[in-house]
Amino acid sequence: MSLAVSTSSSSRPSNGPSGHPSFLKNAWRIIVKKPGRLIGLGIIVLFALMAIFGPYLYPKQLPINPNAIYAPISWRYPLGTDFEGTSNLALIITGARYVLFAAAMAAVFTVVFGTALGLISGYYLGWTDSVIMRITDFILTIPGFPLLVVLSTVWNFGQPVAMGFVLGITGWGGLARAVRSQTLSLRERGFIEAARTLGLSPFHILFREILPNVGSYIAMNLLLAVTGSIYAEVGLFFLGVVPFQVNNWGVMLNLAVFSAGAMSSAQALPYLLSPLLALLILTLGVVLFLDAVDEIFNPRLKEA
Amino acid sequence: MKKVLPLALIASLGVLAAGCGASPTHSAAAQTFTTIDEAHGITDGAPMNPFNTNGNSFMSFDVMQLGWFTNSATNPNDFYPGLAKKWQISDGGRTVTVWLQPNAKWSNGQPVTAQDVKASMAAGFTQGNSQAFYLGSVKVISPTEVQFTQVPGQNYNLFFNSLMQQPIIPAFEYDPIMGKNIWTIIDESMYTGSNPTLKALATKAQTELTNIGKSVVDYAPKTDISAGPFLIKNLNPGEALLVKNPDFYAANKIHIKQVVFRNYTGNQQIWNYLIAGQLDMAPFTAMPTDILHRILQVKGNQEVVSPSYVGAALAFNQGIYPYGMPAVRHALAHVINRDVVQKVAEPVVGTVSKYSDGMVDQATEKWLTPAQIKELNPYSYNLSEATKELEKAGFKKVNGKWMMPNGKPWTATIYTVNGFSDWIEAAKVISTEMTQFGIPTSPDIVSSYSEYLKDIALDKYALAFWINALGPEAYPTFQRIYGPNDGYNVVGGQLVYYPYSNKTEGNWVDSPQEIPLPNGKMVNPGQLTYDLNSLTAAQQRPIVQKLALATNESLPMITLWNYINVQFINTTRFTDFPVHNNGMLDNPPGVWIMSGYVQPK
Repeated sequence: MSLAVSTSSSSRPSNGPSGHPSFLKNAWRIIVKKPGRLIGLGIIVLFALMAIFGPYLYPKQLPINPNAIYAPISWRYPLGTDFEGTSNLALIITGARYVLFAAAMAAVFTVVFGTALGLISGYYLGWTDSVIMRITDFILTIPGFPLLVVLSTVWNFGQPVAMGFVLGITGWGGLARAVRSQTLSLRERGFIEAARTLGLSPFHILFREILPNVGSYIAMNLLLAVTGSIYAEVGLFFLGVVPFQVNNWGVMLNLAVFSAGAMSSAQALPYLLSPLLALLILTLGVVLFLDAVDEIFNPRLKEA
Repeated sequence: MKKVLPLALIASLGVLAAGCGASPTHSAAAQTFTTIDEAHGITDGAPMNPFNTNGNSFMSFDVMQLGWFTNSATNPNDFYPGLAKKWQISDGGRTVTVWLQPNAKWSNGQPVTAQDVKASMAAGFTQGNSQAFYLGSVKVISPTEVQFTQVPGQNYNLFFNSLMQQPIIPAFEYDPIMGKNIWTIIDESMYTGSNPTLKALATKAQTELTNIGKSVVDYAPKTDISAGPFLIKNLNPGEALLVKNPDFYAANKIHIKQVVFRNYTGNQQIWNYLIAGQLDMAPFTAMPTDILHRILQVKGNQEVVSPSYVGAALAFNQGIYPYGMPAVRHALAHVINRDVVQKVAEPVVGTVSKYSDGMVDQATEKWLTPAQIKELNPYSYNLSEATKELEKAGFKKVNGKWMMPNGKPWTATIYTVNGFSDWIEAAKVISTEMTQFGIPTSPDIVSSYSEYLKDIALDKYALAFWINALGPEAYPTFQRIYGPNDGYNVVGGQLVYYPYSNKTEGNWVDSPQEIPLPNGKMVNPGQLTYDLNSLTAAQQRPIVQKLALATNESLPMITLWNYINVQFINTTRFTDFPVHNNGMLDNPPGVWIMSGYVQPK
C-alpha cells in the first residue's frame, strides 16, 4: 500500500507552493540542453510578442501606396508590398494576433475537450465510455475541413475566439481516443488501485493521479494542435470563405495567388512568400520546441 | 517471293497507315482553335443544353441565335445574320418577320424550321426570358418564315434586339419535354385582366410554366444537336472538343476543323494558358498589370480592345441612415480617390470614371451636349469639400472620427463578393480612404453572388458594389438604377412602383420618387427610365439628358471605373482575326469563324 502511494507521488511532476520555481528551473535546464530547443523557444516567443505587441507598432489603418503596388523587397519594404502598396512585413506582424490567438484558442479547446472526455471515458468505462466513444467516432468520421468550409458560410468568424472554438470542437476526437487508451492502461496500475482503496474521489484520481501521467502527451498535442489549427485556419482564409482582413495570412495567400497571379508573375512572389515564410518559421519553432516539451512533461525522461 | 509480297504489302500499308494517321492529326492539330468559354468552365456530366447555367453548350459554336448584335450604341436593331437570313421590322417595331437560312440544318440532317424557332420562344417563356421582351405571339407562316408580335399595347424598343438573341433549340428534342399544350399554358399565363377566373387560371399556368422550366433546364440530350458551325465530339473535365459541323448552312466559310474549350476554375488558370501561348482567343479577363506584360511577351499574343458599356459602382441603400442624405453621398464621392481605386483594382481592363451620371463616359459623351457635360459635377477627390458637405448636413468630427447628426459615431461596411477580386481590392482601398477620413470602414465579402443579390434586395447592405451602366442602349443602362432595384417594375405592361417599405419586391436603392435636376426642377427617374423603353433614339435623347443630370445630382451610386473589353488573340497558328471590326469583335469567336474570319496559317 505505501509502495503504491509513493509510486503515485513520484509519477507526478512536483507541484505545490514550492513546485513552480523548481518546475520552471527544471524546464529551463532541459531547454538549454540543446540549441535547437532554445531556437524553437525563441521563435515561439518572437511570434507571441508579435501577436501581443505587433498591432501597436503600426497605425490601426496600415498606409497604402498606389505607387508601390507589388513593390520588390527593399529597405523600406523588407518583404515587399501587397496589391495596394502596403508593406507585407506590417501585414504579417499585425496579422499575427488573429492567427495565433485563434490557433491558441483552438488548441485549448481541443486539449480541454479531448483530455476531459478521454479521461472520463477510459476511467469509468461502461455506458459512459460507450456514449463518449460513439460521439468521438462521429466526430472522427466527419471530414473536418469541408465541415469548416460549410460552417464558415453560415457563421461569422470575425472574432478569433469563435474561429478557435469551431476548430477546437471539430478536432478533439483523436486526442480523446489516445487519452482514453492511456487511461485504460493506467487505471489498472497499482497506484490507481491504491488511490481507489484509500477512498480518494474519482475527480482526484482522474486529474491528480492519471492526468499528470499523460501530461507529456497532452502538452505535445497542445503544440501540435496550435500548428494544425493555424493550417486549418489559414486554409479557410485561403479559400476565401471567412471574413476579409488584408493582414490575415490566409487572405494574403488567397489574394497573392488569385488576384496578383503570384504563380505566374515574379512581381507578386514576395506577397505570396511572406505569409508562407511566417508559417514555415512558426512551424519550425514548434517542432524544435516539442523535443523539450516531451522531456519536461515525461516523468521517465526527466528521471533519466 | 511469296513471303516478300505480303511483307511488302504489310510494310507499304504500314507506311500508308502511318502517313494517313500522321497527316490528318498534324493538320487537325494545326487547325485546332483553342479558347475558353467566357460564361463558364467545363462541367463534366452537365447537360448539353443552353438553358442550363452550367450546361456544356457553347454559344455561336453549337448554339445559334437568329442573329448576332453589332453592339451599336446608336442602332440597337443592327444585327449580323444568324439562323435568320433576313428580317423585317414593321408596325413601329411591334411586329417582326424573320426568314430563316434556307439551307440551315441540325447536325442530324433535319432542317431548321420555323417550328424550331417557335419551340425556342416557348422554352424562353418557361425561363421568363420571352416575357422580358414582351413577346405576345409567334406565328409560323411557312417552314422558313416566322412572325413575332409584341404583347398588345406594348411598344418595347428592344423587342427585335432581344428576340434575335434567344438561343434556338431543336423542336424535336424539346417539344416532348414542354408538352403539346405549352402554348395554351403560355397564353393563359399572360392574362393581365381583372376576371377572377382567368386570373386564377393565369396563376396556375405561371406555376405550370415554372415547373416545365425546371424540366427544360434539366433536360440532357443524348448527343449534341447543333445548328451551328461546330458540334461537341467529346468532353472531359479538362476540355471539350468540338468538330466542324458538315451540315452547317455556311460550312464553306469555316476554315477550322476543330475547336477546343479549356476548362478553368479561376482567372489565374486563364492567365497561365495565355502565358503558355495556348489560347488562340481569350475573352475579357481581369488581371494585374504584370500578368498583362507577361502575356504580351509571348510570341503571337495580342491584346484587342473594343468598347464596353459596363461600369462598376459603389451603390448606396438610401433607406439606411445616413445614406439617404444627398450630402453624405456627395461627401463620400469626394473622399474616394477614383484614380487610386482604379489603379489598384482594375489597372488593365478599366478606366477611371469621369462622370457619375449612370452611364459609362463614352455614352455620356454621345448623349449629352458639351454644355451639359460641363454641368456635371465631376466629384473629384477633395477632402475639404467632403468636410464642408458633411458639416453643412450636421455631421461633427470628434477626436478625428465623424459623428452623425443623430449623435452616433459613423462606421461603415462595404460589401463585395467572394472571387470578385477587383471589387474586393477596390472595397479595401475605399475602406482605407474612408477610415483615414474619419469614418471607420471595413470591407466584407459575401460567399456567393446569388447570396449577395438576395441580401442586397433584403436591405442588408448600406454600401455595396454594383454593375451599372449596362449599355449600350439607354433603357437597360438606367434600369440598373431606376428599375426593380429602385422599386420600378413593369407589371402587365404598366409601370408599378413598390416602395422601400415593401420588403418583398426588392427596392433597395430607395431613391426619392422625385429627384432634382441641377436647375432645381424635379423629375421622376423611374417614369423617365420606363419611357425610354418605347422611344426612338432621337426621342430618347432629352430624357437621357435629364436622367444623366439628375443622377449626377442625386448620386444614388458612384461610378468608379468603366470596364474596357480587352480580349486576347494569338496569331501564331491563325490569322485574319476581325481586329478592326468592333461589332464583330464583341461577339463570341464562333461568330467570327462563321463569318469567314480566322484562317489557319
